[in-house]
Amino acid sequence: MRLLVVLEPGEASVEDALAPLHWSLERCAEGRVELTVILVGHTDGPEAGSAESTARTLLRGAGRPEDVTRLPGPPDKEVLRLLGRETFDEVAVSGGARTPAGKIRPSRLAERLLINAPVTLTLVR
Amino acid sequence: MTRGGPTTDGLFVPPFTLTDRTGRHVEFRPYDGERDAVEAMYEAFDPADRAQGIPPATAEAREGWLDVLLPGPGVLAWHEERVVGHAALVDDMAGGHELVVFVLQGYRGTGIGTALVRSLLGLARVRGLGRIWLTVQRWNHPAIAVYHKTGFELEGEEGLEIVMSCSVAGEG
Repeated sequence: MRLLVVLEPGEASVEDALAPLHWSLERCAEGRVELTVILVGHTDGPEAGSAESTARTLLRGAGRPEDVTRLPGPPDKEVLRLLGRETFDEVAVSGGARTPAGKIRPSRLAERLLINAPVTLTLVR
Repeated sequence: MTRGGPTTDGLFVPPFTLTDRTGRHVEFRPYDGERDAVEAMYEAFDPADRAQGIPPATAEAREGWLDVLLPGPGVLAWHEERVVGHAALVDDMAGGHELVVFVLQGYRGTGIGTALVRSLLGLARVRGLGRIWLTVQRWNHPAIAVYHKTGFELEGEEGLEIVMSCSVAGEG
């Protein structure tokens, strides 16, 4: 099964941005899962560098190839184009940030994928 | 129907008592450390009526959530020694405060939510706060009606939710 892991640093803390990868690595323990990890959004920002190096460390620690692909451009369009180009069984993405009072604010990416992704979507939080 | 501290523009400074639309006498008082009573209300809260992920579903998560919510200005609605409504402001660390309001099942649609928001805004004015904002899901028409009625205006729309805000500074 092919799982696309979408990391969107800059929308939330680096730790929150990595939640989809943590979740996906746990999924891998359940069976044969092929991971594809992409970084979208502000791919030039300092959070992106930090998220990418942490993601590589996590992948290495799990005995996985350390491949993280940066896809600059509007995150929703980039992910939807990729889903149209390649075959995945599932997508994992951050469910969004929270307001000071704790209300969940789904990211634009999460909302757009919820409506438009052609495969099973998991919002990780 | 009310007695207490109405201001000239429809806000109320708690404490005051209101007779709700079903004839119940509900007292509105600023939060003053009655954490146990607030916890009891959220424990009784119907999970199906959670909004945007709050109140949190587990007791442990609610503890941490109330740690964030309770230090700021808050108003409680009391009916027969029980908290049946709660409104609170959380400092957004950017010069404003986020407003949240919850009313227990069985007390909805009786004017308690509106009175909670009005009294919290009255309290915010007394304390010299400025911009108050909130987010609400766009289909939550009863809540949006309460916010419109209490002076909030649409500030922005972000997908499934809208942002509303009002200013309580320098009036009254």
